[in-house]
Amino acid sequence: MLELRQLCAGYGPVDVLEGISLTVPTGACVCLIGANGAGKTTTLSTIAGLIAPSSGDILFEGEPIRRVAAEKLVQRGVSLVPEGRRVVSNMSVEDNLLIGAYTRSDDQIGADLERVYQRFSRLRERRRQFAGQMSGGEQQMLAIGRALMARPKLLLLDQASMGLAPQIVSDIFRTIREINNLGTTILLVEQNARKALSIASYGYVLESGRISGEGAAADLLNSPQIVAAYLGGD
Amino acid sequence: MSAGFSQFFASYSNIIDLCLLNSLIAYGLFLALSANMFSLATGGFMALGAYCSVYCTMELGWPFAPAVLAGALLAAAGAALIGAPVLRLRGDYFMLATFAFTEVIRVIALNWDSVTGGAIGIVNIPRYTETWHLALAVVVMVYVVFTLRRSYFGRAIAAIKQDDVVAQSMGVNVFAHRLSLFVASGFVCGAAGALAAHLNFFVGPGDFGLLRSVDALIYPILGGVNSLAGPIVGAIFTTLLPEALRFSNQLREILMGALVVAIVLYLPGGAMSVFKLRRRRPQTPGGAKLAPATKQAQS
Repeated sequence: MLELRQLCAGYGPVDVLEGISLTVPTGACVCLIGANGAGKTTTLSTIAGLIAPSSGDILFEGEPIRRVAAEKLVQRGVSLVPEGRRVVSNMSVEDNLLIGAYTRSDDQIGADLERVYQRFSRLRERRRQFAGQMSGGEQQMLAIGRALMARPKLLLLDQASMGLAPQIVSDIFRTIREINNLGTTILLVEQNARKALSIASYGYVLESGRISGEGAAADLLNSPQIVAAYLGGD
Repeated sequence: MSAGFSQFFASYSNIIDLCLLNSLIAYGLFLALSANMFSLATGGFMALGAYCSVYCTMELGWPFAPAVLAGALLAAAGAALIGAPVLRLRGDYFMLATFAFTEVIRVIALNWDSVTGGAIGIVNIPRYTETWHLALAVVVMVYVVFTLRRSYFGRAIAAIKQDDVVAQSMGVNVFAHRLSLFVASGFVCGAAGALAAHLNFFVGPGDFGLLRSVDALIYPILGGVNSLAGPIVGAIFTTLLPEALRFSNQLREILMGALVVAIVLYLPGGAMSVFKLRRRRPQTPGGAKLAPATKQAQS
């Protein structure tokens, strides 16, 4: 579904990513773990078309997309749940969800809205409220729901667990798992490496803009180096 | 009753016209501000609309309505032309570039004697603009803005206003939306310029400078950029205040300045946000301090 080949990207003249290659097979849930500043968010922003790569290739369904504008990528099936949720705070929950369906003009939008409400009943209760008045966990649900409204083939999740209570984090990860089980391919970026690896099938480790390790999620969870560096070796 | 009204109207019709005209300009700016475009191009757009429409009525002998339309269209074309390069700029640079546009138009008006009358301007313009024209234009604008806010387009604009990046990653073409709003704003300001020219008997290059553009920005900001009635409230208030302070010109300027500072500091949502706070308070006890988290993502 998605393939990065020697991707370099960054802000201005400085590259944050120094040649990243990774593959996300169709239907998989792949996670990218790494420390602060390793380039995780940059990777997702580049895939989503928000940052122009300086070199390398991005292939989506076999076609190069590195020059495709962000808004066009949404139409082709790439949806980003941005870091820090970034819901439109002075707009109602329902309007936020409808923004997610902005590129669509089919008659299934209402049905998809209903589906999102079924998945996140909190959002239905609060659908007339301003998004900014909700808790962090609810806003995260809204951000995920908003991305789902675009009917993505590939869902990019940027640190969905950031700043949330452990109970909420578990809920969010369970939801991500369910979304994946229903057929949406997922690339997950996380600092919460243990949680991420527990729902992913495959993992990559990002270190200072380079991939320093990869493997099946279960293997990474048991690898001594990974445990020591990212899982707080216990 | 009706005699009293017509007497009132006769003595205050100038002020009423001015209030309506400024309200119209305020909605033109409201369109631009709804996507965070702090435009100083208003003076330039109004000048285009004014000179073009006056040329049409006085030189070409056109009827009034098509002349106003021509002025508005020329201003919209001007907006489309400068929009493409200027809209790529951010914040203060955008402001400077739009100000430069206004200055360029002013200098052209100053020097193109055969069409604009140069520094002397054009006098004896027939007074075609009537109060109901202005009122109708304002009503149409209110309706347009009202409908827009409820549409898909309006939701996309709201998202852009708060966060470009999110809007983009939801599939919204940010540039195209900004451009269309900017052109619409140019159209409205151009129409306002045409109406103003045929209201005052006179146009000159000094009418459409920086002061005009800054005043136009103040109307919606003072009244409130999130509220449908904000531009009208801001425009009427700003138009009436100098009349009330006629006795002292300096005091007027000082008071206006102080007022703008006070509004920006204490009511960043504009004067209309007073009503919103009061309405929301009972529902969310202790939660009325909704931080307007709008600015964080613009940098």
